[in-house]
Amino acid sequence: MTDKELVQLFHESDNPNYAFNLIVQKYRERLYWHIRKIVISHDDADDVLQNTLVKAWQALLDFRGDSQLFTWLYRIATNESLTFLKSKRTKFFLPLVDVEKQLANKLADDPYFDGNEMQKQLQKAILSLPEKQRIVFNMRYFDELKYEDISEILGTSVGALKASYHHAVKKIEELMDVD
Amino acid sequence: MDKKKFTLTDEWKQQVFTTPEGYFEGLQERVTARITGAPRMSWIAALRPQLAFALAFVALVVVGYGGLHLLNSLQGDTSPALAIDEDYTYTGVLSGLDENTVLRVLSEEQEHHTVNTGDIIDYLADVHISLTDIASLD
Repeated sequence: MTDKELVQLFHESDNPNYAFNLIVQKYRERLYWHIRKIVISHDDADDVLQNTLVKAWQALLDFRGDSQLFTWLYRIATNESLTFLKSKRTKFFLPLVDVEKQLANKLADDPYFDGNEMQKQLQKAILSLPEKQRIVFNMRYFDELKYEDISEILGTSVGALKASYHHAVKKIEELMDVD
Repeated sequence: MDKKKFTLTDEWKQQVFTTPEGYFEGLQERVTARITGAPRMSWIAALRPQLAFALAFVALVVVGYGGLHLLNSLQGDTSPALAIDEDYTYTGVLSGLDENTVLRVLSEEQEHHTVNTGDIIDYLADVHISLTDIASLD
């Protein structure tokens, strides 16, 4: 079923739960991995994903298909992830860098991390990027999203995204060289 | 020995994170448990048709007033849009009538209001005023 059909089913069906379950089934994994790369720990990603889906459920009646359903869901997931990191920072009075350091430390003890040492180093290098740049990098490199879609999700121009991605790759390669 | 330069190739895209077993299967149930009742519409979305109607009405009023104002200023009239030239109104109304008609209407009007002496004497008699008193009146 296409996204348009799913949204139509949600709006017009007597049982919107059914249509919503189909949407969740279709996008739960993509959204989870997107969130997971931002918040790193599985438990946090689970919380943020659930919040994302609850928000999507509440807002889906307002969704009129001006944007694609998946970019709309990605936008909610990104905002929820950023809100989560912000709340963490405010809760523990941490500056931006320390949160990323905490995430890198978490990575070391994460039972749900299956990579080798080099891959762990790569994840730490990615975590050293500024927050927004890290999200752009993840969406482009790992999720292989088009710049136009990333632009719709983040509300940033394609040109700025290309520059941001280019800088991110350069910085990661430099950091990996040193290590 | 030279260290090999690191290049971010596709081989690094491999998924390195994992989830507990059966995580995605159980997710649906947990989300459903958190969603209670029907999805709600935000107040902005609920009021959207009424807001659109109100905005259209305001826009119509503004455009109408602006248009009238613009028309007046183009005609060089700086007075309020609905001011009336009284002389113009009278001459405008009378210009549709010929002179004879106007005179006939005015004379008929005068006839209606004419009271003759007989009527006056009858009236005074009715209110018991004697003829001598009447005669004493010049």
